[in-house]
Amino acid sequence: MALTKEAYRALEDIVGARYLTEEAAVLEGYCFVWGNEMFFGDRFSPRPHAVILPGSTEEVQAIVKLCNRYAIEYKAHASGFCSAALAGPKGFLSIELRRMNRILEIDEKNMFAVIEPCVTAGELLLEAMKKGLRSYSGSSPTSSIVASATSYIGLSSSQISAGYGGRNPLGVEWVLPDGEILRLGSLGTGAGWFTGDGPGPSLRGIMRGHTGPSGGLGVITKAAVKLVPWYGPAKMETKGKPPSYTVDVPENFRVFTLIFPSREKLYEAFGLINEEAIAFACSRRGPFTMVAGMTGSNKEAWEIWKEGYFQKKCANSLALIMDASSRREMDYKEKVLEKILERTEGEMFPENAHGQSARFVHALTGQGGVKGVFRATGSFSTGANADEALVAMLKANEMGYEVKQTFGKRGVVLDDDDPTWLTATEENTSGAHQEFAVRYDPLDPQSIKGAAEIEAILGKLWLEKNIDIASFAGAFGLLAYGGKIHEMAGPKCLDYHIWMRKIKNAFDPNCVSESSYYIKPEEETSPQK
Amino acid sequence: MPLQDFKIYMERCSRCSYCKWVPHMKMTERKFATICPSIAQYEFHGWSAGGRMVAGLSLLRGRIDYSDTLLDMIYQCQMDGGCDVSCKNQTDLEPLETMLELRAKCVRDGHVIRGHMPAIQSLRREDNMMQSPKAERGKWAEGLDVKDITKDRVQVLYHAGCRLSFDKELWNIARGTVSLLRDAGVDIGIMGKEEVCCGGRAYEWGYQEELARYAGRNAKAWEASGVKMVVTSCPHCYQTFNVLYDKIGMRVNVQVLHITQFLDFLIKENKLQLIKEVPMEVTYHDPCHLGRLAEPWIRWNGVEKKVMGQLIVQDPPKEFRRGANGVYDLPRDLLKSIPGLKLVEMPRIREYAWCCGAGGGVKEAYPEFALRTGLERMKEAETTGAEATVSACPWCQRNLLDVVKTMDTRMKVYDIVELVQQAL
Ligand SMILES: Cc1cc2nc3c(=O)[nH]c(=O)nc-3n(C[C@H](O)[C@H](O)[C@H](O)COP(=O)(O)OP(=O)(O)OC[C@H]3O[C@@H](n4cnc5c(N)ncnc54)[C@H](O)[C@@H]3O)c2cc1C
Ligand code: SF4
Ligand code: SF4
Repeated sequence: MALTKEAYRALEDIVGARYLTEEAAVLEGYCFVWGNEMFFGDRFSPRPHAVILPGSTEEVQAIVKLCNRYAIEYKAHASGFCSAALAGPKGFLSIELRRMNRILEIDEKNMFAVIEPCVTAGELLLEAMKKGLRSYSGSSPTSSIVASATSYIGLSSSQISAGYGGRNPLGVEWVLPDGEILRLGSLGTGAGWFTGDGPGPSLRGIMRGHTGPSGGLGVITKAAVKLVPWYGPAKMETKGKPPSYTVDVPENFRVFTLIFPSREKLYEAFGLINEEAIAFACSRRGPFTMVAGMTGSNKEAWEIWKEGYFQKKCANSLALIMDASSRREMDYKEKVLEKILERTEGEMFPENAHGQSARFVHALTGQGGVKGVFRATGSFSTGANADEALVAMLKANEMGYEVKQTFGKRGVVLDDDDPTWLTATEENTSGAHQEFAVRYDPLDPQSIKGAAEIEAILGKLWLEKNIDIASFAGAFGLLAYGGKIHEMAGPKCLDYHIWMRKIKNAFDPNCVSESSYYIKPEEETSPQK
Repeated sequence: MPLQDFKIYMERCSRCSYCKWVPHMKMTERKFATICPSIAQYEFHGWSAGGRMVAGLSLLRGRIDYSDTLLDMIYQCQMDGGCDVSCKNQTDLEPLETMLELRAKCVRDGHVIRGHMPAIQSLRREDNMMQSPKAERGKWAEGLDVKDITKDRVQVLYHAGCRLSFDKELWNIARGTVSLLRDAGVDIGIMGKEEVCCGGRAYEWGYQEELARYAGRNAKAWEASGVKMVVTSCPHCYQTFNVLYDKIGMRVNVQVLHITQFLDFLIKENKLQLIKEVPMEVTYHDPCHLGRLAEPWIRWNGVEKKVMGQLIVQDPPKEFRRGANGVYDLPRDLLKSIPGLKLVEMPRIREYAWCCGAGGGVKEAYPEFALRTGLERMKEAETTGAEATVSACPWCQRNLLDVVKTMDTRMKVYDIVELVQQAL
């Protein structure tokens, strides 16, 4: 249902006519995004009623209050690079935060940045590097740091050294679903932005929990995020031409592709690397993701793939990036690595400067993700994710790999040989984050169906085997939409879904913060009860 | 190719928004990290390449119909191709070609921009986009006593193009170029009032038939005159002759050079010596049509096929034009060879340069937007500390000169030939 004239006029009064539209042609850009085809069978989801572009916290607050008054559902987004940002079962008011893009402060001494929601990961990195600092990379350089720190997933390839998810936000300014402003952490007592916990309300668990409310719990208007030391130059120099730009890996960094004789050995080495805290970033992406990242086109990737070299050599490989503040520290890290490789029969895979550059840039900025997942087939899904102990994930990988291979061999999804993506987490324990990337063609209904089936099968399997239900229940994947997953996973996990729903209802009494990727507001009893 | 054939690209746009930004590995300053003037000005996603991919698809599917807003969305865009470079740094899509076809569909369906009509009517009646009588086309050369290729046989034709032919404030560039070339011993002539538009700008606005018409006329005239080479100061003409004519299968059998390429050749052949000091610090603005849009056309007639189950490849293999092979170094080399002149670079250069604002019919239909875009470029130029911005395109020159008039700045705007002349 379109907005009433009265509501439209009232919104216009808040932001001015220039920043509000309900023109069909413009709205089309706000209901089209990768992944929609999995939920809606099409890249288009239902059209929003209108799109509004506020420029300040005050404007956001006024919009949200008005939505409460007129019972208009709304959802905020930053770059809008996921279905959760733009889609819902029916129209709503889409709040695009792109005008709120200021870096308000970089506190060098206390190593944090205070930013508005549409500062991108790429932008913050540029500014932080000038001060010998860096932010965590988020999902891609065009994505919002605030979105991933406070509202959605929040993983990053460099998370082992720069933190992830709920560990990154400090002080937060939050326009609650009903329009009240809540300031979290030290900000709540006027003590500044430096911590997400006290003095002041420490509600990170409610604000984002493990994976974030995906727009279903109001709007974050400012946040402080952690910065960590950067041992590279203030500006990176890039050589080469598109699509093969290359950076020289700075002297305080090392980039390795490590190869192992078996999956078991790889997981062992991965655990040791985490425990020994030698990594700037450590991940497994699989041979096809490697090839896609280092090539400029599908044609080039296919030419390399046909040779079979990477599949053979890098079936069990890890990308490791190390940084150090001094020569001595690097010597130490290199010696530790040597020992780990000895113990796990690992070797260094000889990679050219371009390949090294691709790994390094991906770890630093998240760049390369688009190449890695969209160029090949046009879309991808990552379900069956887990933040778990390595030993559990090795098993999960074996189970999942088999399922994925079955579909890959049938040609329904990309037959890419990639095992799970594995990313080291900050805690330096023998745990990690794992995801299954399935590349499918969004123009081919059979391919979409295949990817969805893989997700469903793996989802069921994960539940049966009790593999990290908590994170599985998060924002990812097919089952996240409509909160279906919570009904399935909640009973196996302390009935968390009931608590989640209570939070939703308490914070959003008028049910206006569009919640289809978070949890349905209406009460439902757990199937177990 | 009808828009329908671009559906595969539109449907595969992930909405990553990379097309709004300079390729990330090339970002050096946050202030100058964006690439798309359109989204910078109009804010809503539709005003970006990604947004237009969606709009095109939507139109094809009948989800939306033509409206003034849709037309503004499609045409408030310089067609400078910055988006294309950023997108294709990561993908195998064709956003710029898709946007071109979307415009062509608008025109074919009779939905045109009112602000473009004077120029289009002028083209149809007077063979130029400048709303001027064709009889006055050669006026810029009055008193130069240059050969007329419709009467005399010469080796090299100087094609002034519409902007230089009719923009009096810029006549000195065309006149200076001809004198300079003649002094260097080049056997040069012009076509005077017989010169016609290249057709490229109209093509960019969606008037595809005009391109074929002018390709035919130019080819006929050049061939009849027996010229061996065409030299032009206008990157739009350069790109049209070399790239667009080839694209529509009407490549002319005469070598076409931009003036910067020809000057480089003359210097290397010792026919031109830059000896006088020009003590000046300048920054160079890459014209889009000499840079990323000037990459040679790569002909491909094939189909998509799938390998590895779902990996999309082209059969026969397709080379994508990704902006790497424009004319970037020669103008810089030329400037660097001027004694005493120092070249300093802006944050956004070469394939990821910010547009001057004049292209795609924006100057004609949305002059304020053209000025705003140019203003951002001049502010970027100012950050280099240079005294002057140098370009090699009369359309950039026109817009940047207009911008400077609105600014409180000491910065000057030159065409590259003006500096070369000072060094002779
Ligand atoms: C190739 C690829 C790789 C990815 N890798 C990662 C990864 O490594 N790590 C990761 O975390 N994610 C990843 N993602 C998922 C996701 O795309 C990003 O997390 C997302 O892009 C975040 O930034 P954004 O600006 O696009 O946010 P949006 O897409 O605009 O928003 C993301 C969600 O957060 C909500 N939201 C955004 N801003 C606010 C706000 N200020 N207040 C309230 N709610 C808000 C939106 O409603 C939406 O539900 C990846 C996606 C792709 C396509
Ligand atoms: S046009 Fe290209 S860069 Fe822009 S959103 Fe679509 S895929 Fe991304
Ligand atoms: S051609 Fe220029 S103005 Fe148009 S979408 Fe691309 S970058 Fe933006």
